Amino acid sequence: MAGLATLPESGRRKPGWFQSPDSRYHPRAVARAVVGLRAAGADRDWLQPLLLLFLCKQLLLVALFGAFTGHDEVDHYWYIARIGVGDGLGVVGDVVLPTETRPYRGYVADYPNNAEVIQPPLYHAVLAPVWRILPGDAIDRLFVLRLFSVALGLGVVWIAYVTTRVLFPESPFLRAGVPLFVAFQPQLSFEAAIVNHDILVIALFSLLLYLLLEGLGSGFTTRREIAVGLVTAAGLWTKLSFGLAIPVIVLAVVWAWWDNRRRWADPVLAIQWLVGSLFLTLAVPLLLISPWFLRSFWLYGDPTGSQRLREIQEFGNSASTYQEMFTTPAFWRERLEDFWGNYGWRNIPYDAGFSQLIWAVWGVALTLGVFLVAREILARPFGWRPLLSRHQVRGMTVVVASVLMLAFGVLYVGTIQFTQSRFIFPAMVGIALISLLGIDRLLPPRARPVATPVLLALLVVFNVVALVRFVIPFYYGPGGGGVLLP
Amino acid sequence: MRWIFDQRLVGWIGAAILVAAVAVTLVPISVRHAAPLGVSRTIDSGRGIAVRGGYVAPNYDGFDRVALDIRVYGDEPFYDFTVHVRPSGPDQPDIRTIALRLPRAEVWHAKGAFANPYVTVDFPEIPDSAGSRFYVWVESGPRNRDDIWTLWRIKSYSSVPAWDVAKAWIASPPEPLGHWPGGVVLIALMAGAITTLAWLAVALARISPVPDRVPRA
Repeated sequence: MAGLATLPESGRRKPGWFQSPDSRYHPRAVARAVVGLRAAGADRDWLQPLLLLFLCKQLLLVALFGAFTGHDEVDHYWYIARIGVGDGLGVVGDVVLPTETRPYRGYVADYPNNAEVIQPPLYHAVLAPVWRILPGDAIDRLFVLRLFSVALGLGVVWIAYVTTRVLFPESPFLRAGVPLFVAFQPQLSFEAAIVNHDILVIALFSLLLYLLLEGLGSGFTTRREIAVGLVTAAGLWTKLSFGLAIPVIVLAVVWAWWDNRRRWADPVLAIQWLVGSLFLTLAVPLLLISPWFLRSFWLYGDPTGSQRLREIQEFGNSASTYQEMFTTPAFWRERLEDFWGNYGWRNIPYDAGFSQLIWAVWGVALTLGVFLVAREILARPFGWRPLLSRHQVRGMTVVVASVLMLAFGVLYVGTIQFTQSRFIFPAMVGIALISLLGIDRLLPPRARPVATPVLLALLVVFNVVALVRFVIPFYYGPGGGGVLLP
Repeated sequence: MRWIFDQRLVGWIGAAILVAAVAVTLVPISVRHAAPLGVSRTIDSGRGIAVRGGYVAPNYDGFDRVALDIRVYGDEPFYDFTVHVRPSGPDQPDIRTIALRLPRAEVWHAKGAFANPYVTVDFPEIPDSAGSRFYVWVESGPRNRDDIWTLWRIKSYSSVPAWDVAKAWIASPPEPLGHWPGGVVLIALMAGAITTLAWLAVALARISPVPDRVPRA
């Protein structure tokens, strides 16, 4: 592991913010890599068409989905507009949506109130100046703002590639398959085509996972720790559920520290190092978000405002308990339906047979992953050659932890209001890795040449059939379309 | 079977998959009509009960299928039903009548959470159905006249080539783009997507299946 050379030795100071020996992370180098795909090497051959295809697909989706029919799109748009005109952040219950939103009231959770003003405002504040300079009416501006989500989605696909390359640089199937999975996951594509802060959360969480896996592999330099802290702060300022990343950060940082502590002669220095790392990666973002916590506490009586959401009748009536959720099969069916389908407030579900086909294919892939885990556990007692390196096992443990934390988030939201699978989407890169790893390691070598084209074909056919059978006819047809909820 | 994984054939396999994907746009495909949550509910909200019929509004020609969420509460081994389809409005005659005999398991009220709750009913297509409204109602056969059952939801479908669906979309581009320029933009994006898909398929088919030589930690 060449990257280990950058780890500090006992008694040496960590490389400073401007003294990183790792020139790969110099901003100019990163920019060159992203723009020119130089870092991708031979993978450029398929990365360029993949990114271009994703761009074409997303622009089509932006045009496809009716105005304001994305989940919470009305609320998010008018939150942006509110900041854009200088009306401030607002308080839940006091902020009423304008009358021109009336045709879309079926797509608003708490009409006529804007419940999204309870969320931290980073996404909305970033887009507010853009909204301000855009000409036209609300619909004109909405379609332009959707392009920002497309750009973020493009970033997520790229991060999926570089993240996979960190953990599985030797696997051509995973390097291509993971970004393919992410690019064609239909609900992530939906998020990346509507105005909603979720896509920014997905991009930041994906970036965080990449930074953590890099740190786990080649060490947490001061620069990387600051990057983790700033990305976490940005995530928290976008949506407080980003806090679910905190245990994952602790796991990665402490694990990296534990692995390297033997290199340090002085245990006090080692402890200081850990405390410093946790300060930069955790305390700094929590300090940076603290003004928002204080504001919510002042206005709603708790730091996140979740109590206020419970009080909204539409939300509170849908709340459940952990036990109810765990023991209700219909709850898990709905989560699966949400994960792969149910566009726009579940208004466009798939038919049961189509969903079952998707779950069956995905189930086979996940089952292979479970087999792989069992095989790796049995490898040592039975003397088999492991199929995963220690670095990969550590990395996948962090990946699985990130998925589990967000899955917990889905359940937690269910105790406050109706919950949805999209709350797990920030872990989509990890979900793609988990879904494809078993195939990569257990597929017979002779079958490998067709694995990636078959994956592409499955994903493309799935997306095309879903769009043609259900989504496009919902919005368009010679006899009309685009019905709204009553 | 060794030949099937020959590297030279990979490109052909990729191309065949691509051609198959394009061919899908030309063959008829069953599209679901626009409806909130994908269904027409039969509940009579005025009386707070479910009735055994509901309105569907096909937005495509060639209306030829309904999916019915029928639930029975008795213990007969088979149930007889007749499905009627007629244009909405007073005194309209049935234009399609379909007799069904369904085993209890298919319409039993307590279906598993992961089971398909719908019974699919195909019938000869109704041309010029786009934009019309139809009343679909179900009656039980004489044998089951006194049994307890109900109809909760109805989905309706047409069989049309995928290209017809694309055409309907192209005819209604997003407002800000305008009608003609918007249509041209959509066609250009579709052409771009198909071209880059072909490019991607070929590039992926060329990926070496042999793991790269990267030292493991």
